[in-house]
Amino acid sequence: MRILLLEDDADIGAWTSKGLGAAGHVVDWIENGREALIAASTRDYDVLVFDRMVPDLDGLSALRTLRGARINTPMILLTALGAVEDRVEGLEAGADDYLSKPFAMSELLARITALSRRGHGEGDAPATKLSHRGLELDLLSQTCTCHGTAVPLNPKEFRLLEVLMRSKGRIQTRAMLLERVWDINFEPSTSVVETHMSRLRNKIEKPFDAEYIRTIRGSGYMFID
Amino acid sequence: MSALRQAMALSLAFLVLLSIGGLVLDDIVTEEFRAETEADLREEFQQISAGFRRDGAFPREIDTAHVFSDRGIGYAVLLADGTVLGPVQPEAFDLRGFDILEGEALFEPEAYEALERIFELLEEDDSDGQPIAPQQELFDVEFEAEADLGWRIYAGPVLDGVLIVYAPGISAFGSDLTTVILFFVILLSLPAIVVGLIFGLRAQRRLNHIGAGFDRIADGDLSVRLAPARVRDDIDELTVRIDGATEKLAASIRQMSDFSANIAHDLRTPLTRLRLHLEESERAEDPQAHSAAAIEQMDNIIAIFAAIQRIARLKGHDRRDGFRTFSLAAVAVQAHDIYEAVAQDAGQDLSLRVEEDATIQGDQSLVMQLLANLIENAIRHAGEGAVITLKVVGNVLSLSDTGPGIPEDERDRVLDPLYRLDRSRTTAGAGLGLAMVKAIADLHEADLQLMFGPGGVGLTVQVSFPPGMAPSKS
Repeated sequence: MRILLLEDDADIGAWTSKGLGAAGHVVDWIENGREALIAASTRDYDVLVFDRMVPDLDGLSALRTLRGARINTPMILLTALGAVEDRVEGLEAGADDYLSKPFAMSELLARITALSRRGHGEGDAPATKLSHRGLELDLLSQTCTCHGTAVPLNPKEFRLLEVLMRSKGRIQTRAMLLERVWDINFEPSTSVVETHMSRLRNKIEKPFDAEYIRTIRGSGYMFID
Repeated sequence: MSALRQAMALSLAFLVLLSIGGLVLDDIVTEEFRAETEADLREEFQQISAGFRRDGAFPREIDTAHVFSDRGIGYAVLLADGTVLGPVQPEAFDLRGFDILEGEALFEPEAYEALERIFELLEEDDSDGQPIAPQQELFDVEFEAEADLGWRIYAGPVLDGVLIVYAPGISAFGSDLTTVILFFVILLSLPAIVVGLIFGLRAQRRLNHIGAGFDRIADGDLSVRLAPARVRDDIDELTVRIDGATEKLAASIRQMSDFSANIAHDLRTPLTRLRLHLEESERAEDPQAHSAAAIEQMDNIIAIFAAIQRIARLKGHDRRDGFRTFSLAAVAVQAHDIYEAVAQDAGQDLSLRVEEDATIQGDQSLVMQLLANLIENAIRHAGEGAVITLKVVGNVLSLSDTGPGIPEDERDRVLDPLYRLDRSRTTAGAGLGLAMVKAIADLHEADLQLMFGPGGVGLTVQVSFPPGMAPSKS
């Protein structure tokens, strides 16, 4: 994927572009908001990764300008530690995702992957059913069957499985799951994700002796393709 | 020294005003007196001359005992043959109309001497009407003055002679008044300055006291209190306010230093572990595991900082602009959905009771975090087998657990960032949960109360949101 990275800090910029490069992406790293705005509006990128606080023209203003010009390239905004309220502002300005510093490379990679699929119209017609290897989710009736047997899932377990199945083959980090399934934007101090994940797996894997979900250590979870 | 200077300036201003007032008064009185004397002189002149005209002749002689009339006016006559009746020098009869003459120019030397003596003696002893000088009967004096001062006269022809009437000049009385005023000014100036000095010095001392106190506060001594035991005036009230400000400052500094100490303490553990893992990763057979563990410790540290920063921003920010209306019960249901399983895994029971829903104004995701922090606190500290109850009664949200609770005297302090009960030092968490709860409650102007749980067991945390709108019927 072709990624435009706007980051003024030399160390973080180098580390980020190296990490993205190692994952097979092509990265243009720019340190100045004005130049990033020009690059984003003249060249074709799959994903933009903008730091909020950069000299000249900050990431948020650049984002607003881009969206104002109907350039809808998916964007991840990077922000300083703990700035929760900035999240809302960023999303309202048209950011597709939001990541606060410091972040793990796996988190950024997972989010970029998720974004690029979204940007390129995954599932052109909204699916009413998701199925894979005998596991079937009916999105209309909110029911789950495994090899024909009904599996009773509570709404949150259903939503968790749906998010995982929709992004099968790609990692969903704990933070991404918290946001998407439970709408939580903070880091819980108890093992919320693990608990629900193990309940879900007890329902869909154990009785059928199958493995649908894989735990990726230090990153998150992945629905096996 | 401004207070002292001010008091002195006020005293001086008082004296100057008094002097000016005195001079003006002097002027007015003198003028009045002069006009009156002139009128009296003229009237006396007319009466006497009318008498002479009626008689058609001057008296043979003027009895010196009657030189002065009741009004303190005397007269003398120059006859056509040049004889002078009365103690007046012949030259004085050359004048016409009003005039002022020195005593020496007006009176015969002998009479003048007698006058001088009389006035001298009068001044020494004016207590009674006894004849006090051998020749006092020359002048039946009814006024106090000095003989050598200007005398006012009125002279004019009567029949074939000249009549002259005279009275002590205004300057006699006038100078007397000026002296009196000057005397009072001098007499008053001393006490005025003394009183000014006393008040000035007192005010100055109080200001110096406050100033010195401020210097000590600026030097970091926040135990300084300036207010006196009894508050009497504006300055005292000011000191009371200064004391209040100092007290608040001391409290927030204490909290801040506690906070710093707690940060240092709480960061020590993950930092030590981080260091160990980094050291081990060089030597150990499984460096991967150690660097993963190091990252985990790093994440702990970052989480502590993120929470501190969030609290700071919540405290410093006014986010009420972004408030929306939402159902309190809906958030409680969501929290219950998330944590019921987590509590179960910890061997606890988390139940939800909604007795009455309410719609409140706020930031839903922050209220969610408030609830999450409370529930996670209960899960972590209430121990296995505990029963945790989440309750919504109108706009009051409460969470009770059957754990060990929090001692009453520590309930306020657990709301401080990073404050932790001694026994919870060993359990996970950074001691920021309740501080964040407090910050979020404050932002929503909600009242936060920590109390015993039902039946005096465990802990109940109650958050009373300000009454919002009534739940919509739709």
